Parts: sequence; structure tokens; C-alpha cells
Amino acid sequence: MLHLFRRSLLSMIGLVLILFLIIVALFAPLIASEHPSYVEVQTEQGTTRVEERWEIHFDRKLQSPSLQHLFGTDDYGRDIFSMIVYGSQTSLRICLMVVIISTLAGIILGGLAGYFGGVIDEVLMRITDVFLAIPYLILALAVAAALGRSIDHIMEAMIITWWPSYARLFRGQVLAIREQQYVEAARSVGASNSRILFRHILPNSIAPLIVEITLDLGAVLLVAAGLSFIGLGASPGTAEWGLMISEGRTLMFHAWWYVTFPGLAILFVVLGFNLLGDGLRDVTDPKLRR
Amino acid sequence: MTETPLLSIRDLKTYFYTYEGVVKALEATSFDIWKGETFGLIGETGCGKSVTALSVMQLIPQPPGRIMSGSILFNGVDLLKEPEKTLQQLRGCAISMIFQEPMTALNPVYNIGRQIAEVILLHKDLTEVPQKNTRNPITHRRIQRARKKRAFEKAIEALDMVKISDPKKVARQYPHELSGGMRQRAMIAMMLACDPDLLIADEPTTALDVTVQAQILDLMKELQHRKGTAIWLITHNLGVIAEMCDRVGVMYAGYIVEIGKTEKIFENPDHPYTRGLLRSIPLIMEERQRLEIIPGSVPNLITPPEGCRFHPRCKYQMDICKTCAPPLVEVEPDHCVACHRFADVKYSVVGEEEKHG
Repeated sequence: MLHLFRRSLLSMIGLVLILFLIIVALFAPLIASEHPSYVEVQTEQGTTRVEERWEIHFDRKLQSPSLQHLFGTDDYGRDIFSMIVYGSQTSLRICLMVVIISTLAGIILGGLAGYFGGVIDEVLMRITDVFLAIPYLILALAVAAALGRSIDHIMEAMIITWWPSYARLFRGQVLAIREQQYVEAARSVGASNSRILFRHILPNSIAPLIVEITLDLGAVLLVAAGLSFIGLGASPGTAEWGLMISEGRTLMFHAWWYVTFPGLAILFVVLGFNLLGDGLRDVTDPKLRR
Repeated sequence: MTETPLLSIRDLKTYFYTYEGVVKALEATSFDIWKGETFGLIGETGCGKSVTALSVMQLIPQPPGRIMSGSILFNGVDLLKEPEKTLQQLRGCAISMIFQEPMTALNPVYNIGRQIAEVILLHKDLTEVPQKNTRNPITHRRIQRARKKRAFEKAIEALDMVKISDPKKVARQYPHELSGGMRQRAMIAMMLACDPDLLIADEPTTALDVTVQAQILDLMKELQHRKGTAIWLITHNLGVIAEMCDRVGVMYAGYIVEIGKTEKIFENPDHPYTRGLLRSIPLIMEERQRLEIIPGSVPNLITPPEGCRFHPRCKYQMDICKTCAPPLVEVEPDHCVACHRFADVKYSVVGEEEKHG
């Protein structure tokens, strides 16, 4: 399986991009030249003091890329390279949280529905349908309006609208796998329901879900950036790629670097997730294998 | 025989509620299986053999299936009245089942040893109190790990028992790495790992090629001798039945139509259906132009024929057959038949002449 993956150049590129993102996010404080929101300021007495970044440094605002500021600075004088590096943490956190929580909900509810069938299936699937009917944008708007704009709130809104598709996908898988004879064999040796569901059915039906998750990580990132861009997500001042594009949009013709670099960051990460997901699908689905 | 049978099925009735109607798959099926014997159940496809086995295991998919009435006494305990928890303990431990398709009956994501070990872990108490060690206190996790290790060792022993060469290597292999015969052996090892009292083998050799079939049957016989397991063999291969079984039951459309000692039934079949079955296999000693067939096919069990379910295909039928289902009567010791005209079938020269003429 691994050698098939290794043979595909595109999925390897995807893997490298994603590994790069993870490394950047993990070691952000070491990679970034400064913290985007806080700074240590030398006082006259020679001590250092931590101040919020955007209250100062108007003297170096909107500088074009140079060796000191690789990707230039923004209109508050913040270093864009550092913001992008710290933004990777935010992005990764949103992607992983949304996808992991949605997946868990999807596996539990979809698994129960598919395995037990009957009334349980009906009830759970109709609940799923209700959630599937909610558009994420409207929900995000409502949540932002009610609770105020914050990354956590859009994460909640996205989880609520994201899990139903996983529940459906997983239910379908379980429906197919539970008819397999080894499931009956497991029952015939006295395995309990939970054992059959989690030890016998789950490992056999997880593959398409993993592919879906990988592809969705990119989609979640795009949606989150989009929500931040229209002003529903991250609060101003946060290092978040969508927000940076939104803020730099008006200055696009004076400071091209302000929108370009966050945009490229989003592009490469989404591309990475998609290539990785495609690669995984090719590997796990024998029908697509040539 | 004065002792109680190991398994005693009485008037078992299993229906399936489908969109087209109620499929009356089993209608008053009764028979016994004694300790240590091999009981064969034969019949055409779709006559309820597997449903009977699944009913005993209580593995009938519900819905659509439903066991309507009857009793299944196993060692004197009525399985139909036991809670699911007790059944889970019985399955795989006291009663286990070998499936037809060894290709699909093993889980592809676990290696063989682990799957056998799972059965052992579920049913056997392998807990050994580890030696006290101040540096390594006895934790739940440590005990679990020790149990798992012991179970895996037992699994290797089980594989050795079914004559798999190099069981240590096979235990770490995955199902797709094994041949059909090997997988069926692994299945048998898994099902016999807990020394069950009754082994249900639902067409265990149908999916295997003939040479492997013989090996598997020999193996089952040998293990039966060693462990005293009763085997309930379901097949439509009459050769296998003649070779293996002490007693045999013939099923037709949800009824046991004839049951008794294998020799008696093979020498002296009293039910027209049994006769038809036995005549429809080629005999190497005789020269025959054509094989006899039983005209027609198994009836649709949603609307089964009234009375004796075999009557539309039976050349001995008379009026009573169309209205009244015949009871199972003992015609000689250890030989019961459900037919209104068994006496005529047995002694009728007319019937024989009709056939040969």
C-alpha cells in the first residue's frame, strides 16, 4: 500500500506540503522572526516590556518585502511572514478540530444507525437530515451575530453543519460491511454488539472516511478563511490567513504583498490536502488502481 | 437411548417477513442431536437447512426473520428463552459454527492468530496472577497483556491442531495470504479453540475443491474423535453424508421429512423425496442412461402447497396429501418418516415398475 503511494509523485508533493505545514505550526515561535501581536520593547531603563504589537511601529508600516521582513509588513507595521507562520497554527487548529469532532460524531451516529437499523436508523438519519439542511453560512452568521465573532464560534458552526455528511457516509459503509460473513462469524463466536461494531466493522469501513476527511481538511480551511474574510470569523488583530486577505484587500494596489502571501499560504495548504486525499483514495480504492 | 440429547429442537417455526409476504421458512421442525455423534442435514437449496442452524445460534437477522414458536433445548436449557448475554457466552464456546465461505468468513484486517485469540479471550479465563514484583506492580493492563499473550499462544496451538504447517508464521498472516483450504482450517481452529460441545458446519466444504474437501472432512472427523464434539453437518452432498454421518435428517421446504440412521436411510429410503434425492446421484457400479430427477423445484415458501409440501412433485400423491400434513412416524427403530404413503412407497412394486418401466 505504501509503495503505491510512494510511486505517485502528486500525493508525495501533497504529503510534503502538509508535513511542512505541521512543522511550521509546531515550531512557529522558532521560525517566525517576531510574534505578530506582541512585542518586547526596550525601555529607557534598559529592561524589556511586552506590548501589543499594533499600538506601535507605525514607523515601519507597509514596507515592501526585504531581508528584514521577508514578506513585507502590514498597515500596523506587523511582519507578514511571522503572521503567516503563526496563522498556520490557527488554520491547523480549525481544520483538525472541525474534522475530528465531526468525524467522531459521524462515526458514532452513522455507525449506530447503520448497525442497528430499524427505528434507530430512522430516527438518527432524520436528525442528520435536519442538520444537513442548515447552510453553514447562515448558521455562522447567526452564531457570529448572537455570540460575537471569534474563531471558536465559527468552529462550532462548522462542526454542526459538517458532521451529517460523515454520518451518512459511514452509515452506508456499515450497511455494506455488516452483511459480510466475517461479521456473522464474529457474532457466532459470541462477540458483543459493541465489539462487532468497533473491532470488526469499523476497521473495515474506515478507509473511505479517511479519504473524505483528508479532502475535507482543505475544504474546512477554505470555508474558515472565507468566513474570516467576510468578517464572521477571527476577530481583528488575530493572525488568520483569511482575515489578512480581507484586511489587505483595500491596500492591494499599494501593498501587493499584503494579500499575496496569505493567499499563497492558503493555496498551498489546500492543494496539499487535496493531493494527499486524492493519493489516499487511489491507494485505498482498488477499483481506481491501474 | 435414555440420556437426554445434547440438542433437541421441537416444533421450530421461523418466518421471514418480507415485502412480498411472509416466507414460512421453517414449519414445525423437530429433531435431536446426541452427544458426540455426527448428524447430517440434507435437502435442496432453499429448503431451510441453514435457517435451522441460524435459528439454533439465534443469528437469524431480525427483522425480517422471526422465530415464531417452538423450543431449542441445548443441554436442557431452552435457548429461545435465554437473554442475549447468555447466548453470547454460549456462542463460540458451547456451540460454534463453521461457515460455507472460508474466503469471506475471516476478517481481512486482523491476522489469523489474533482472530482465533479473540474467541479464546472472549470465553476462556486465562488470568494468571503474575509474580509479585515491586518494581512492576500488578496492574490491570499488565494482566490484560499477559492474557493476550497466552491467548495468542493458544491460537498457535489451535492452528497446530488443525495441521497447519508452521503455525507460528500463519498466525501472523492475514486471510488474503492463505489459500481456501488453509482458511477453512483456520476457521475450524477458531471454532474448535474453545472445545465446543456442538459444532455446526454449514456446508463446510462446498466452496473447496475436492481434494481439499476430503482433507477437511478427515480433519473434522479426527478432531471429533479426540474431543468428543458433536458435529451437525449441513450439506447437499450425499457422498459427504454417507461418509461422515451417524444419523441423517432429510429436509424439504421447512419440514423434516425423514430422519434416522444413515445406513437405514441410504438402504431403505421411505419418503419419496429421499428416494428421489438418492436416485439423482450417479452410481459408479450401475450403468444407467439418464439420471432420475425430481420434477419441479422447491415451492415458493410464501405460498407453500397445502398439506404435505412435497405433494405437487410426488408421484405417490393421493387426496389426503393435498389437505393434511403428514406427521413424523417411526417406521422402524431409529427411522422416522413423514409421509402418508410410506408403507406403499416401501412395498409398492407399482412405483418401482413405473420408474423403471
